[in-house]
Amino acid sequence: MKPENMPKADFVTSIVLMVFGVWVLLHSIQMPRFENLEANPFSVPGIVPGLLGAIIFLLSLVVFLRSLKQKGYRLGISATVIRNFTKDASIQRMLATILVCGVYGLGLIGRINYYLATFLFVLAFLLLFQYRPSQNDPRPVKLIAMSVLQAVLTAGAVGAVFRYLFLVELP
Amino acid sequence: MLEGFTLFAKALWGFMTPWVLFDVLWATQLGIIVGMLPGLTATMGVALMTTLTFHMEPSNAVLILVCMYVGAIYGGSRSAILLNIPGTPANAATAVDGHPLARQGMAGRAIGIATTGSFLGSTIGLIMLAFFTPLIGNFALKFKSFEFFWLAIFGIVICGNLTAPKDPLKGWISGFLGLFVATIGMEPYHAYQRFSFGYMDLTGGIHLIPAMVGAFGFTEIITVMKQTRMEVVKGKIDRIFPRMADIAKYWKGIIRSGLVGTFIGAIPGVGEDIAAWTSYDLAKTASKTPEKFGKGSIEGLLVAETGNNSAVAGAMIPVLSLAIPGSAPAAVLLAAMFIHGVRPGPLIMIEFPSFVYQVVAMVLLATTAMFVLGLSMVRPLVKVLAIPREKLMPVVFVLCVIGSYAIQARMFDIGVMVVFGIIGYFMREMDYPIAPMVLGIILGSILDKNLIRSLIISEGYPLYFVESPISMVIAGVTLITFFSRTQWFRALKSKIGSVIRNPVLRSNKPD
Repeated sequence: MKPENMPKADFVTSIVLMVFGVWVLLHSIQMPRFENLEANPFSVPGIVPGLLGAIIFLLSLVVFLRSLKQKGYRLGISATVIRNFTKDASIQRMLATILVCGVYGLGLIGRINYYLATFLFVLAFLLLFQYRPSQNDPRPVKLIAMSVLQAVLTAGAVGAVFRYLFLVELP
Repeated sequence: MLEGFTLFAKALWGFMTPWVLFDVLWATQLGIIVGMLPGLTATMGVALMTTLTFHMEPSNAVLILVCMYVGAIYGGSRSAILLNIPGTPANAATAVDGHPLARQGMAGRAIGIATTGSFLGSTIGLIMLAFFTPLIGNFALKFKSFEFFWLAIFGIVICGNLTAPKDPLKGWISGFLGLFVATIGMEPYHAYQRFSFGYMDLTGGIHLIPAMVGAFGFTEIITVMKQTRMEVVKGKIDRIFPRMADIAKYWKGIIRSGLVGTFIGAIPGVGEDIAAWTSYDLAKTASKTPEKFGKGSIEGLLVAETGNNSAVAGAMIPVLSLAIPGSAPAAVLLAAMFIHGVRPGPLIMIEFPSFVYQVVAMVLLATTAMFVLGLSMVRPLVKVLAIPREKLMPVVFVLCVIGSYAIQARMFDIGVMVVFGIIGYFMREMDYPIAPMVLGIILGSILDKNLIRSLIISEGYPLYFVESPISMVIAGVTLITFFSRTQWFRALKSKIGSVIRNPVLRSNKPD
């Protein structure tokens, strides 16, 4: 992130963290105190997270006040800024990575066969970041064939090593 | 001392079997490859290797993890020198002088220097490991709940301070978030389920390995894939074997960096990257030719690599003696030791005295293997750096997924890995260091148990927390570290400084 944008980022993240700190504190206060069991008041479950919530709130408050001083509240969000942000190649690559990995890790694994899920993920990843149809790639068939081969080898090798060598029940 | 040497000799002799030596060689070589590939860090390598060694004998498994750790921290110097991309964060300082040397056509010489520096750093570190672990372990037997409470807070404060030098506030927030994460799940006193919201998987809490694989592994994958272009290796490799004159000339710097690196490595959660930068800065200050630093200085490269590899052994000192990791890969090593039934901590010199010297022997074997492999297999291994990230990263993510799942066979852990990877990426973007959060997850249970015990013993009376001299010292250092970064403290310090320096002000002092 560019240093000039850091106060804006600090302004937003510190608000999120302050809300989080307060939420942890309130949740901890509401935890049972086991008075009916004559529990020691210092052993109640909410004491440690409550203290941590308060500390997170206080530290985030300092970041928040500092960002106010640096005029971080001037977020400058406009349609153009958002459009430029989404058109940025590195942002698109970041989002594509999170999406394809997220779909594999949270969606495919455990729902379909491990080997098939891994094959589909590796193939999708390779094609997503390597295949450029708009640039008239002269060797699309070779690229696709090599990607399929790598996907088969990765799924087969990783699955077999963990299943038969390390005796892990595959998800 | 003699007993320690006997235990060390026995441990070393015990490892002298062809199979064990074979394990040392492949694990160190794999570590070097993991370290040299941008996007694969030492932490991730050790975490993934923990799952692979799950069914092995404890001593063999830990030996392989130590070899992976030592190899990876060294291996990162390759890409730092050849591509100007540190293979692991520990090698960032290596790139400053290593890459200019490569651009001057001295890539082989730079690799030789880095290998020798790493070897010497590791050697100094392992001597310190053998010497200090029993001492600290015996001393830590005096620790009670108050001392452990302060130690946990000290770890977070110092780690936050050093991993976010420009903005320690963010380091501390990251550390306290990690401590909070550790409170999720069933608490130890009343078996109450905190922050689990009736979700069964959360009652067991967030486990370290999937959280770390996500925070270091998946975060790195996103960061590497985000970049629109990557450097490729150019030029040939010249003479690799180092010249003795290059090494002997800087013996003072080597010893200083070895000692400083080990000391910084031993500070909870701080790690090899800070050790390398500190060694580099100190060497630049003490150097007769500081102007050469950053332009291809042999001295700069040598001390950076000595510093980061000595921190590897240094990070193991608190792992063994206090069960508190000195760095992120050491945190995984600690978790692996627990998985294999070894309980590091103050009782280690009573329960497993031979294990401490076994670890020293492991570091020695890994260091020797690293030196031999580092000087002998340079040219073929450089080809590994030519693998495009588009082809490598999906394989790495597949390993992250199966590695997170393998230890407990829980789908939930894959979710933890993905979520921590995304959180880690955004934290990194916002300048919040990840290491304090991971340290917080580890220290969370120590803090939780010992704070409650301390409160019960003291009945909430705060002075009890600083009653013993050890508590007082740890609390004092923690508070000084914390307040030294505040503006009013710096203003007070400069005011005191100006009063001392200015004779007029001094003479005006009231009698």
